[in-house]
Amino acid sequence: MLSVMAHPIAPENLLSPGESSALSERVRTPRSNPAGCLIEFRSVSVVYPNGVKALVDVSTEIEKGEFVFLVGPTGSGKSTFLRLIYGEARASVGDVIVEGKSVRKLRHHQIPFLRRRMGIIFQDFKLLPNKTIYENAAYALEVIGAPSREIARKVSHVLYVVGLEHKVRMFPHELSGGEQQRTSIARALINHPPILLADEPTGNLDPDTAWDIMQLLQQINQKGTTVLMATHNRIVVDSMKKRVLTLGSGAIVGDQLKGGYSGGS
Amino acid sequence: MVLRSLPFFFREVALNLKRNPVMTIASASTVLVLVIVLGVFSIVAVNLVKFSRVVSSQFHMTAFLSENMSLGDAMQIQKQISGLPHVARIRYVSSEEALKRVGEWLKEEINLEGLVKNPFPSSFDIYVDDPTAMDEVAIGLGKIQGIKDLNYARKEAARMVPFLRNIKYACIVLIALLLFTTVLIVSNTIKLTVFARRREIEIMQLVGAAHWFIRWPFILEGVLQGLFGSAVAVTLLYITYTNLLATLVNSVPWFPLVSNPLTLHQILAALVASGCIVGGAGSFIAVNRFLRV
Repeated sequence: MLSVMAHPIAPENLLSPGESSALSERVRTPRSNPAGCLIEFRSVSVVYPNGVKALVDVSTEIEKGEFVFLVGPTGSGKSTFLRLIYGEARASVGDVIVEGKSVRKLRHHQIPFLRRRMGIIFQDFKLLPNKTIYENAAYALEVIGAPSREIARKVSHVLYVVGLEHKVRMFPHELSGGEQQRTSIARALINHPPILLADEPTGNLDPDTAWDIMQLLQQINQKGTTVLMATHNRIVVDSMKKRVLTLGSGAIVGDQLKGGYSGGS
Repeated sequence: MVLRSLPFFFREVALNLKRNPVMTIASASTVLVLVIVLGVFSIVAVNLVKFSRVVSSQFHMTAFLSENMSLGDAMQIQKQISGLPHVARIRYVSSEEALKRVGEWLKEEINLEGLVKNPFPSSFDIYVDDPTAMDEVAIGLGKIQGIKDLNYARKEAARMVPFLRNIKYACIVLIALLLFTTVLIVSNTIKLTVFARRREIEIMQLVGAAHWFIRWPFILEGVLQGLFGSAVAVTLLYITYTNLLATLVNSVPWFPLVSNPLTLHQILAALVASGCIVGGAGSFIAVNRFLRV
């Protein structure tokens, strides 16, 4: 695959079968050091206005540097789980704490600042259709008012990291799905956020391209970014041997280190 | 923060106008058509209002003084008249002047040179601020010693003045309705163009853009679309009206057309300004709907 070749890190370095990070080996015990906790769910329930209970009494913690898969059938609350973290959904009961701050208590105008602390990628990429690849990546810096010289430098760098440095002038519709997802990852990473949220990032991609994206995410995680990824991709989850949070009917039904897709059920 | 992002905003607006030409043209031409309608009506309205003002100002009362009244006594009476309510302006017409005036009028038919005695009494032309108050003024004048007779177009004033006033009110109501419709149609068109980009707004929010950061380029775009549309409309109106004026002044000389460039410029400037405001405000409202504020 050409796009893999363009990748700055060789794939074999990313997914060797015996690999396991120090984080995932640590024994999960009640935390004595809450400072290490990046995202915390405290008895969170979400009831939508139509009465649907999306999450029921969910409590969990995600530490800095972790790579966590969020799995479960459609409608089990995976997307709501992520939406709570980036402030798109609000907890009806309980609270979500991100970097020590309560998301529930954030005022509407503070939400953008929460989102600047995280990169978010989606199944449908959510790229701005009228902007070039360069402009899409740069947008995340424009919103924080970064100087144009810094923008130029960071955009070139991040597009190099995701292997798109030769497509900067193209528009999203001119790219393949994998390339579009790389663009959205570039945009997500450009601010060096401590958290990367991914909602089914491989859902629209063929298996090979999906692996490309997974390698990229793993590389990002190895550089210290906490990655939280909701997915249906059983093969990816089973072979990556990361922490797996399994949701079922809005509740956490499994939480395994080095888990597999069906581990919780 | 806003200042630092200004270059970005201008680049954004330029790019969006370039990359969404259909939407830009749709909004600008909606503004164009509506400003022309509004403009034509405004110009007709100011002309009607001017016409009614000119007509009402010609209604005046004439108070004839007793014969052989001295100038001093006349001045005394003038003072009393100016004390009455609704009296706006008084003009003294001496008996000599009255003779001269009539002589002018009738110079084709009768020669008044041969008159032994001037039959015309001196009089006051009394202009009132409200022609419907003429009867009230007449009562006041009746109480003043030295006024022998009073003449005014009572019936005509009673009929014409309310009619002219109704024209004015009708114009105001119609312009208000037209303006309201214009605002609705333009803001709806802009809402459509913003609606076409609602996904972009959602994405901008996900990337952490503050509301004002998303809003400003849209508002600037709306203002520019309003400006384009109304500027073209106003140019067309200006050319048409000045040409029309040149023709009508000759063919309908009795109608007091508004030719004062200041009034005309004020109307045209107001039209451009309202085009910009409606464009900007329309964008603001539309964006806010998708920002979920």
